[in-house]
Amino acid sequence: MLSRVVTLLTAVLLTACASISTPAEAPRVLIFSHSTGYRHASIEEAVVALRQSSEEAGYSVEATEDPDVFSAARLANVDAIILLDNTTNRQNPETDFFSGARGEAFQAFVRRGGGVVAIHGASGGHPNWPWYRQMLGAFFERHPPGEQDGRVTIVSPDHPATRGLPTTFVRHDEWYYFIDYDPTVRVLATWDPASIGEPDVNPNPISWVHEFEGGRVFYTGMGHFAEHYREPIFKAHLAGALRWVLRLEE
Amino acid sequence: MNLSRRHFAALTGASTLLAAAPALAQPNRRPRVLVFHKATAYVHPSIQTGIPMLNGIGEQDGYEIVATDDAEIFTTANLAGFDAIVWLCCTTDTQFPESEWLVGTKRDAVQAFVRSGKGIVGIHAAADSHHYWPWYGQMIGGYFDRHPASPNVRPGHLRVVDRTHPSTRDLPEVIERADEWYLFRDFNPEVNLLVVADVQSVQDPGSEPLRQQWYSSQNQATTRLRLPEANPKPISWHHDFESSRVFYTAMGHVPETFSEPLVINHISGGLRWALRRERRRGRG
Repeated sequence: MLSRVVTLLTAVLLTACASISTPAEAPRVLIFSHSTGYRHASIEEAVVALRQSSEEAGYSVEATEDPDVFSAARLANVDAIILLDNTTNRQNPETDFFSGARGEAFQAFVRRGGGVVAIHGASGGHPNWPWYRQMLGAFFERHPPGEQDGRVTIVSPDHPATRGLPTTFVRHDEWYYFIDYDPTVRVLATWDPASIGEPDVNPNPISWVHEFEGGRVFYTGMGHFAEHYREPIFKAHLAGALRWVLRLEE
Repeated sequence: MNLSRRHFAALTGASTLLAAAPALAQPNRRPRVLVFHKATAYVHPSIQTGIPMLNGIGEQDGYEIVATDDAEIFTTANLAGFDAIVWLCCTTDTQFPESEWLVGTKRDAVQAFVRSGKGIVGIHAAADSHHYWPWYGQMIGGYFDRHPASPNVRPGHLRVVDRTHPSTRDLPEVIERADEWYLFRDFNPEVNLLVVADVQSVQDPGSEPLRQQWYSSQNQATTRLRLPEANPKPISWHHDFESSRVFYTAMGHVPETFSEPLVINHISGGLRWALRRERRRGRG
């Protein structure tokens, strides 16, 4: 009996320790929305919404567009980075901003177990840095012109980012195709090209996760428009993703 | 065939057993496997070694192998006598829809075959076929897009990412072998990945990746964005598709491929699984 109580207590303690790295401190989230390529008009509103939902979840939040935040010192206190629409100009390698020490700080962050939630245009940056593409799992290739109502299917319902979401739903967005997609990532959601009149016959990946070099990475290609960041399904998707990369929920 | 099966079931009272365990092959006859190798685009010399390899697998595992390139075999009545179809390097031309031989009622017959729970094995250029029939691309799980050129056949560094499957459980985790390494378009990310190629398999070390030569059968390929590959590439996979089991491997370009014990093991395991004679470890 006593041993069972001890076991139970140990389990409770372990769970508490595992879920929050320093119980006294809130997880720290950095929202990073710098871009040197196509500038998404939704960024400002998205940052406000992401800040709000992250604060509601009990995290301490910093939002910045300063690429120098990618330094060992300034990332030292960060548990998760939200990469929002960080495009670069693919024709001009000089627009890549994760160069030199910034890139090294980013790698060190991931390798010490940091979390990354990367959204939409985050896959449209740094084509000249293979590590970034490995970390993210793909590179943005193109999207059909305009915006469409596309059908999304949740293919991994047992993940914090998808738990409780409808199995399939239609939403308005700009729909991405990828190149250099890593087929070993865990796909969470796909979109159906036929649902927007595209000729492709197989589903396309749209949200996925993987453990990468010690860190946890989530990416979604959804989220072009400002209203998405007030949309219950998309908000739940991102909030769950953030919990997963912060190791608060498995 | 149907009569004797019903007769057998009645005699042994096995009908409930068969209904309860549809995954098990019927014990009363040898599985029949159709090896189809018609090619109206590039004709792979490896077809000529692929057929004897599959005959050998048939001998070893107890199947009757029927190899043909006559598309007239695709009638519902003919296919009812088969348990699996192996698509062996059966190319059609991406530029010419009329090069496709699965048309009209032949399509209906293949769909009925798949939907009745039979097995499908696709080898190499089976993914470079019927680009104008969406259902075919869904069945395979992707379409051939391109492969490195000059040389097209080159050393490959493969990783087995799932060793619970009959096609991979005897394979080492890392495989070094030469082949023509495919990259796919319209790849279904929901298939169950078995083997990937690391990027060095499709890139020349030390050379500028964007300046490397590629062969593509897609006419619009030149306008597409190209980057040095950084992520692994799918090579072999399986999925359940419309009641059937589909196994595909991109290996198999050169005639020598089909005398490699490792490739024979991979394909024979894939065929056993597609025929439902063997399950994944710990799964269905």
